[in-house]
Amino acid sequence: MEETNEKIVSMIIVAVLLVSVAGCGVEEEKVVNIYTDRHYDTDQDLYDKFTEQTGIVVNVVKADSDELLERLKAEGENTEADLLVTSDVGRLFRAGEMDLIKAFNSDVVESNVPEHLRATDDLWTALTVRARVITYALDRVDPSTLSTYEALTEPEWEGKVLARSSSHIYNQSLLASFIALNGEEAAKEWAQGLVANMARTPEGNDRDQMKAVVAGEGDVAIVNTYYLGKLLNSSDEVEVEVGKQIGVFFPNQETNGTHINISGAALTKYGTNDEAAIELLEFLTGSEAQNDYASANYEYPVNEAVAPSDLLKSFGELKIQNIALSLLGEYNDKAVKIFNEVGWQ
Amino acid sequence: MFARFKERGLSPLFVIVTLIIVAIVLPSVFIFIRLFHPVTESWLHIKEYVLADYIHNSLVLVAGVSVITGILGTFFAWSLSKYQWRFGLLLESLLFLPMAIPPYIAGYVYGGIFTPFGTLDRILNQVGKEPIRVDILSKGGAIFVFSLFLTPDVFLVTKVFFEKLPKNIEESSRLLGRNQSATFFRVILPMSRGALVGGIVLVMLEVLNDYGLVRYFGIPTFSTAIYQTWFGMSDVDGAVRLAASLMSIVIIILLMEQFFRGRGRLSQARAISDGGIKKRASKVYKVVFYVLTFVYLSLALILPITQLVWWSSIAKQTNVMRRFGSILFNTISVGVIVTILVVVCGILIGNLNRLNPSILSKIYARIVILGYSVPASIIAIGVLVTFISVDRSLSGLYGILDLKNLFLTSSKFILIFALTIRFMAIGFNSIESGFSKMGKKHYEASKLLGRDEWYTFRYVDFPILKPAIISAAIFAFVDVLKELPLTLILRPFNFDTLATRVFTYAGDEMIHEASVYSLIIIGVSIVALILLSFIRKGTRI
Repeated sequence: MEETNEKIVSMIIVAVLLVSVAGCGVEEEKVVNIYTDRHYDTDQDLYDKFTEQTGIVVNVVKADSDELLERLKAEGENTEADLLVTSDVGRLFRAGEMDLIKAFNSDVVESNVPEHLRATDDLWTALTVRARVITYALDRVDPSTLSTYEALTEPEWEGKVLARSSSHIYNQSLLASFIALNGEEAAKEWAQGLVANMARTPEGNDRDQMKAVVAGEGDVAIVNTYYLGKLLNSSDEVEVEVGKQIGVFFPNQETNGTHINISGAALTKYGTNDEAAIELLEFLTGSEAQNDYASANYEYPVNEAVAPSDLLKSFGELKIQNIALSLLGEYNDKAVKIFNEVGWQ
Repeated sequence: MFARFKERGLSPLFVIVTLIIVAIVLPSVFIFIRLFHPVTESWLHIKEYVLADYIHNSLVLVAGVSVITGILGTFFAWSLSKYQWRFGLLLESLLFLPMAIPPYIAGYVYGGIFTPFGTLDRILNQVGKEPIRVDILSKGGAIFVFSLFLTPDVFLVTKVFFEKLPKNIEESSRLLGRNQSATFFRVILPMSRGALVGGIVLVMLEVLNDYGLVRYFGIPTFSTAIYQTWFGMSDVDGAVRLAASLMSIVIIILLMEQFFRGRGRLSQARAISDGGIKKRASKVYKVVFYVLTFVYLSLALILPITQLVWWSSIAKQTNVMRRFGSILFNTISVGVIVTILVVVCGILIGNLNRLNPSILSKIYARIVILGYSVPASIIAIGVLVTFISVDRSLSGLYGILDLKNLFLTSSKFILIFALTIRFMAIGFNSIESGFSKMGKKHYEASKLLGRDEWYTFRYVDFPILKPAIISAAIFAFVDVLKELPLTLILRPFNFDTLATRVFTYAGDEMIHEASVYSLIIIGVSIVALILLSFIRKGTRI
């Protein structure tokens, strides 16, 4: 009996191997292989467009960025991936630290993307920008009472502030930016003050925070702008109604600017299709793709020739934090530790 | 080749099972090694500030969910296998189904019902009532959701056991003067401890390893500590170290359980049961059973499916169904292959344990749980590192055959391997509970009559084992359908499954679109259940 079973097992294994071999026997064609943690349908549409225009085939593996970094590291010089795309600059910085990426050197990308949204050594470039802002209940909160992230720690906001859990990268990079701007002590004080003012223990995602604001559980919530875009354009009427009762306030406009994070891309160190990968980078930072990013996902375009979507424009002009984005990556672990120390769950 | 082993007293079965076990253990070795790496700074930080809280949360969740699923699962299994019910078969299939809804999706569903502007608010609003606040995103809420959707795990394992329980045990107990409930609690329950523990262990591990639901609910647990160390502090070594300590604790507990229960086993009991004659339930029992079943199925099936259907109906249709054919094909083909592998390996290991029981074979039987004892992303790293080193050592061969450098690592084979070792624990648990009452009598009779191993297995053991095999297959298949972390990280380029599509949308707060694929997963599970129940028919002895 064992031998028969063994036969079945080996037959299955052989069959699987044959299928995989069959898949590999495709003729030489130009390809670019991407590891990405951006999961939007918009991205796939853009890759399809790119293939249509250039004939270059785009292959994609989507997973969480840290797992992708670990996979890249394990594969080492044998990796098939050419391009790494992440939705957080910290992960690009980390990839640089782990020596997994290399400079792309493209004049086109350099002219498409302003300097502060690229790594100084050309190791990575931003593709889109997201702002983390204060949203408030239009019926209860006078926006003139809002000013800065720091002001949310004042006693007047006690029991009124909503934010998601600190396990989320958007909160980690927000705190990392404060470490970069104001130092560790001040950042810790801020986190402590915010925890003290929270309306409830952090739970749910960014959309849930805004719903809780409208439901009266708190008055203000710290969220990314594009989630408001998604609420306002939801196919669920109630969500649209919720979105309409939310105001957007860009904090720290009078001081050191609103916090942004980027999603961005980098060439992998051992990728073999550099030319195609750079071509894709140039395409993604070009005006056509940037327009699509801006309209479909309510993110800010990085290409200054492209205007943000009408919704983003309606929020007003945005002054952003003036720090090197890579610092968000550098201070990520410090931020996580501060969150733990002050008990921001 | 096997003849040589035989001369040395090693049966081919032993050799094959040992190879399977080595394959299971290998990726874990890469994890274990890190236990001995120097302690990192982030570990000290985690220990100082959060570990105690996180472990406390984990324990609360695990304890709550174990108790509830244990009671509910055993109650349903016992009732359905020993008593007559109207629509019994239908109810039985329906009680499996909540398994097809991954807990983290269920988390979104219940969040979507109870959070502000959720379904409950809307309904109350329609009838002009004030909104009611139920804090579902809490520990209590998490225990509630986990319990609803993990009860089938216990139900499935204990049911296989109860069905094969010889009737004369019950009769003897009744003849000796114990009433029905005393018989159940004093006789049946102690005997079925193995199956019950087996089912509950699966539930515990599932709760321990969950990251999706607890993250959305904002409840940091032990797996939060693992991911925080890895993602937050980019300390992979520290994360793996934490996982390795979790793995060690799980293994020690399981081995202890195995040795302590040793003598309580029914190894030589009669394999053939009571011919499936079921009793009539008393009136009170009937009311309790129907009410409980109705409430359970409403909460674990009707409510979430209704919510998902409604969400799907307002999903933006653009692109959601793109490449659906290949997604479905990927999911089902991987599911079928992994299910077959899990079942075959499970039978081999179980058979070894029955025919040549030894300390080693007992350890083997517990080691299968390795792949299920830590969060899947950690196992994924182990598998990845293992495969890459195999690929590197075969690179000469690949050169000759004109294959890619990381031929195995970049193929579907790595995914199938990883899923198989991951779900071996689950499949084996059912198969083991089928084997546990089988004994050797029939096997030996058949051998004495001159039948060979294959004939004996096919015509003697297999029919007795069939229900256990079928529930193992259901487990493995449905779990592969909804599996996420391994598929995400180990998949080849452009390889999507139903579950990865759910993740793609849910991860970006697009729950309407995610619902479409959640429903398809449930649909495919229903089809699989129907197919398997056809196979099952006619095999009741």
